[in-house]
Amino acid sequence: MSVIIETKSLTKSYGSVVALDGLSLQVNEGEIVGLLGPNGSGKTTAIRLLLGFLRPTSGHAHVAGWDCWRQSVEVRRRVAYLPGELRLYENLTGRQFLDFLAALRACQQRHGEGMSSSEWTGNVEQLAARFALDLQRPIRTLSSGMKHKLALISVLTAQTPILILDEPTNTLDPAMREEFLVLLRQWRSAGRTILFSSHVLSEVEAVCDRVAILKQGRLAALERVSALAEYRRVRVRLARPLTEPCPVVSVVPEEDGRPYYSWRVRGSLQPLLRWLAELPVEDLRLEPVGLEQIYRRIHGGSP
Amino acid sequence: MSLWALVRKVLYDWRWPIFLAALILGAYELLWSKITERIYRQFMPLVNELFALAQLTPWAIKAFEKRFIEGPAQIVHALLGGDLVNLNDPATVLTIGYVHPFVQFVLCLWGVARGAAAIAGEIDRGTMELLLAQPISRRQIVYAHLVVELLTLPILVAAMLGGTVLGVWMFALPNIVTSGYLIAACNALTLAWAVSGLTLIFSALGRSRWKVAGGMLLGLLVMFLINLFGQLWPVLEPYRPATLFFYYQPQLHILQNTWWPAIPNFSWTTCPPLVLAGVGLSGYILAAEIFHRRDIPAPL
Repeated sequence: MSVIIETKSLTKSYGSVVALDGLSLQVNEGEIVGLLGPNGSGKTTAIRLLLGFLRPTSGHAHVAGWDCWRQSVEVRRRVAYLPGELRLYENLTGRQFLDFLAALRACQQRHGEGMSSSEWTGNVEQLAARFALDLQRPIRTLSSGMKHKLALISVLTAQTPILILDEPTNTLDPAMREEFLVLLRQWRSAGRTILFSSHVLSEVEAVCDRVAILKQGRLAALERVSALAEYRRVRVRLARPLTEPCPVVSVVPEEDGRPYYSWRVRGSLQPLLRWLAELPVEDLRLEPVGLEQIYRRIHGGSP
Repeated sequence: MSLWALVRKVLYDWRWPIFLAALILGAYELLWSKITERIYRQFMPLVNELFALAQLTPWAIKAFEKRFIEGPAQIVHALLGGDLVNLNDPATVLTIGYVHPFVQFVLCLWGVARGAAAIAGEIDRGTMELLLAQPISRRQIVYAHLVVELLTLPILVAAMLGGTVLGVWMFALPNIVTSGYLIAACNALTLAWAVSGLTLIFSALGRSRWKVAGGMLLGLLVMFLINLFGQLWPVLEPYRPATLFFYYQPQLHILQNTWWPAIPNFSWTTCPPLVLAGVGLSGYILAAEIFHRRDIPAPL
């Protein structure tokens, strides 16, 4: 798989405030990568730099080989973007809105990159039916969830190889959220690359191939989601304090005051269990290490 | 292709304001034709009759006019065209309809509203992000607005001309040479164009349409006052050419029937529509470059 999105030491500062600090990230073609982090961690800044809305203070970003600032039109020709803060043209109907965006991308059809007009219309109708959206209604009369669906349809019909979605499920109801996750998987199967930011760890874990966790503008962790299943946490309570040197990761205080010792283990547990067999173990617990625990380790709270 | 899609969208958004502004300007010129007729056929015969009854000599009438103009009416006199206007001549009174502050206000308001909405307005309402997520360059966005101005401003001045022509025909005003009005209409068009171009520079720098519009209207008011009081106070006169309104000379275009009118109290001549067109075009080019280089802030 070739790299389609690449940032190198990407930094954006506003005076003394560093919004994004040296982000180096590679996204491969056909991959879904989730961007995680609390508000102000730099997720949206990273996305806005990729789309050429912001000029990097230092470092650079490339999408499909095009420089995100200097060649941003070429970048956006290949990217469909769903903003987190959704503002649409309230005076248009859903159909007019989609027609307008399609007309702005019409040059892609001329270059044979997009679909024909009839195919596009059929696709729009199909998606509107799937999302139960009336395209004849003026946008100002739609609820925020409906507006979100309309924006999603505009992204889906753009026929670009890359999708960048900023908190795409924010205002969707649970049923639509499920539907959306199914669509994400379908797009990946079709070879599209997706970068999306979210606050919902479960959906990131459910659809992403990799997850990048940002903290205060820095990349704090970049994990393959499938690899998370290989990690387990072993928690042990001993009858006496541990004095032997061992690979203790963290000590979690127990309710009665005696400590639990815990280890994060990848792969075989045998070496650790063999070592523990020689100690006075009172209790032993095995837990899978999920994304939430990694997130909590980095941010110390819920997303 | 993208450019035309955007032009169509902007025209669609502005279809009612265009209609309204054209209606106001056209109706105003028609109204002014009616006012001219009333002055010419009713008011001035009455005044002349009163002067005759009072047995005033032409010298005494002139002296009275001078006292009146230099006294309580000096600002109104300067506002409406100064010595160019002769109330006994409908051809000169009709020209007031093009220089009247109301017309200048509507033209400026149009330019400010268009310029402020084009960039700062889109950022303000959060739709710039959506627009720039499409494969369209920032310069294309500015040039789309430039095309829209070139398409809509002729509609506005055509409405003004239409109002005048209709009024002259309806009220049978004599001695009207209409060719000069075409140049005056071009001058009106370029005033709105220049205001729009200047506003766009600030729009390209800002993120709030109301701040841009408010600041620009304040700046225009200052320019208007400098140009007005520059006609009354010699100390301000040298600054008049630094204002946009100095180059709005529809009366001179109409009465002298030329693109290069002689401006009273200034030894040099200029082509006011050309200057304003240059200001507007420079504004658009500068705005395109500023907008091309700036960061797009996230919606508030």
